[in-house]
Amino acid sequence: MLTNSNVAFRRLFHSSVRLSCEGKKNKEVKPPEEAGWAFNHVEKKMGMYKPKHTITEQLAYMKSKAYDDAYKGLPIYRWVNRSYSRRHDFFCIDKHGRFNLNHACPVCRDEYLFFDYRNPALIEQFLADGTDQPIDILKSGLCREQYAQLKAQLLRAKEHGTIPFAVDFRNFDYRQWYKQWTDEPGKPVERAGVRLQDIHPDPLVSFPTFKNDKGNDWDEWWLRHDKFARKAK
Amino acid sequence: MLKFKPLLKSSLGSELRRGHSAWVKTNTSSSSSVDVEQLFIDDEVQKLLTNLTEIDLENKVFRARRTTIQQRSHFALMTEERLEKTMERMREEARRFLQFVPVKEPRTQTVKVLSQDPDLETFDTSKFVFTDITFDATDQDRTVVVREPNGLLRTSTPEEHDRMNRTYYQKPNRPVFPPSLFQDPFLQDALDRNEHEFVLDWACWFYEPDDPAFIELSHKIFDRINARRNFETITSTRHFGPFVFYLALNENIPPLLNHFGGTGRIKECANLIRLQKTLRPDWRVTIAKGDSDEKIVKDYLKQNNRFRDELTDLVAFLERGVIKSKLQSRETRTVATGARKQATVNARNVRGAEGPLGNLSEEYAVKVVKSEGSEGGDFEQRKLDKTPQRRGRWQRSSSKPRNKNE
Repeated sequence: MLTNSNVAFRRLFHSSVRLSCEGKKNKEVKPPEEAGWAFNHVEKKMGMYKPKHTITEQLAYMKSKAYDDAYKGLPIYRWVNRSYSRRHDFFCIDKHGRFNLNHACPVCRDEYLFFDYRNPALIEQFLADGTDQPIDILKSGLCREQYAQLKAQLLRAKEHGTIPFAVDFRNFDYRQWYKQWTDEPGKPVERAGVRLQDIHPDPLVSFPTFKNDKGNDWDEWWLRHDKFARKAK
Repeated sequence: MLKFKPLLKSSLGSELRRGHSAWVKTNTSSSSSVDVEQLFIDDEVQKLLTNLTEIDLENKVFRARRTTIQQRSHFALMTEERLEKTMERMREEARRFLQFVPVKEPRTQTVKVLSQDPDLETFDTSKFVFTDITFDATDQDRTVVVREPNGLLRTSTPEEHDRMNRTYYQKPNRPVFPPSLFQDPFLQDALDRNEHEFVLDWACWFYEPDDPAFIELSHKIFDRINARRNFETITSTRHFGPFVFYLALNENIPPLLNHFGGTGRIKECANLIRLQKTLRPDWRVTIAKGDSDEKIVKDYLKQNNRFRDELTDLVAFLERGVIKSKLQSRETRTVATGARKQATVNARNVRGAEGPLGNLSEEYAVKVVKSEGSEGGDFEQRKLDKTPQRRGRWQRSSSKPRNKNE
């Protein structure tokens, strides 16, 4: 009963709570040179509304000292408790924009962050090394909504050129484009298709393969047992 | 369905080809009729373009890119001879990656009217597009016809044809509609980040080389490179050939000539001048057969005195041998790395600081043991003499006799 009323109170007066939080923050942390970007000291946010910010604010935040202190230069999902690993089975934020969980996913929990194609740095944190593919949802610790957003904004970022990638190499057959051209086209090539073993073949050293248990009939020992076993009388 | 203004009886492309090429800008062309495609595939021109395209393996052709699959890095220990062979093979491979994008005139927009059926006029408010998706039809010869709402049946325009190809035969990174990167605020953003190669690569993957949109886009990028003088972004790519061709065809080579001169590459300068004089032959200023590179460049300077303030770096190099400071530092860096590469371990320096131990060689003595050849027996003996000490549980029984009691 008490908790219920508490939650209701929080929901009703979320704005005043937020304001009071900010006031506290200003008291504790001395007014920072990067005014406004600061650590949120509210521990349990369930039932509270998530503030909304613009992309310019997000970009400024990601350059600020507050961001650097919070994440220490690591990808943001590295700081999330892995024991809540089934975060993708829940909604971090409900339809009214309130927190549903106390331990939201790495993007939902930070009020400034959301995926956007104009901020490729955030998307790149969730890409597998050297590729343009997002990492596994379990590894990223994101909720389903944010993971879908990640994929959508990644596609958008690629189409807007903010995340460049290796476009497939187009092999032109000049005979198709010029009537007078007669030379055969060379062997078609592809990006990331050059293998070191073709360029630099290994020297002719034959390594013996592991001797597996084949051809020896140890498993038929009991079948042949009668032939050599001395029978008891 | 498709927004299309029918250009039924105008044959725009053929008109273009007859009168004026899309690759020649109006203000510079004195002689109007040039066959650009024929010029591009000319042997001499191809050879010059290939020579002008340098091959930078590490920073350009095989530089790190975001690929779809994750790959491991490979490390190999090899002798210098083998390294040279491998690099030669890589260079051969790189030459394939530097195949030029075809230089084409924009295609014709002509469509053929197949039938006119006024009875179908009120049948529907949208067009019907019929596409042949049988197995053996290729992307080029596929039949695509369009039924207009007014009952007109016609063949498709090339744009509709390509769009149907993109719809039915999807390829990665080839969406149905052109990506926003090819339009201006985003295009300029990408060019500001020096991603010219990425944009051009994607453009030639997305568009056909004779698509008017592709030609317009590539000209836009080429013009911006030329205006900003950032030629470094496009050198050693497959687009450098068409870029140089475009410049030489429009007699707009001085900025690039100055760039080459600033780096002290007189051979490239001469090739560029040769290229322009092949594309724009003029009997008054021809190159004699036995002319050296330097003479060709000096003659060009004499003939084109009006470009003298644009060619300051080249003039400085020719007169005083000055290479631009920024590029000079790059040169020295490459020289330094070259020197480091030559430092190999041999019998003389193996015991010193240049050997494998480095500074530790003062503390530790280096022993060279030959495992093959004449001194094999020696090695065996030494091995017998000095048995290596083992530690912990694997200590040898000889050093610590177990059977003390006996």
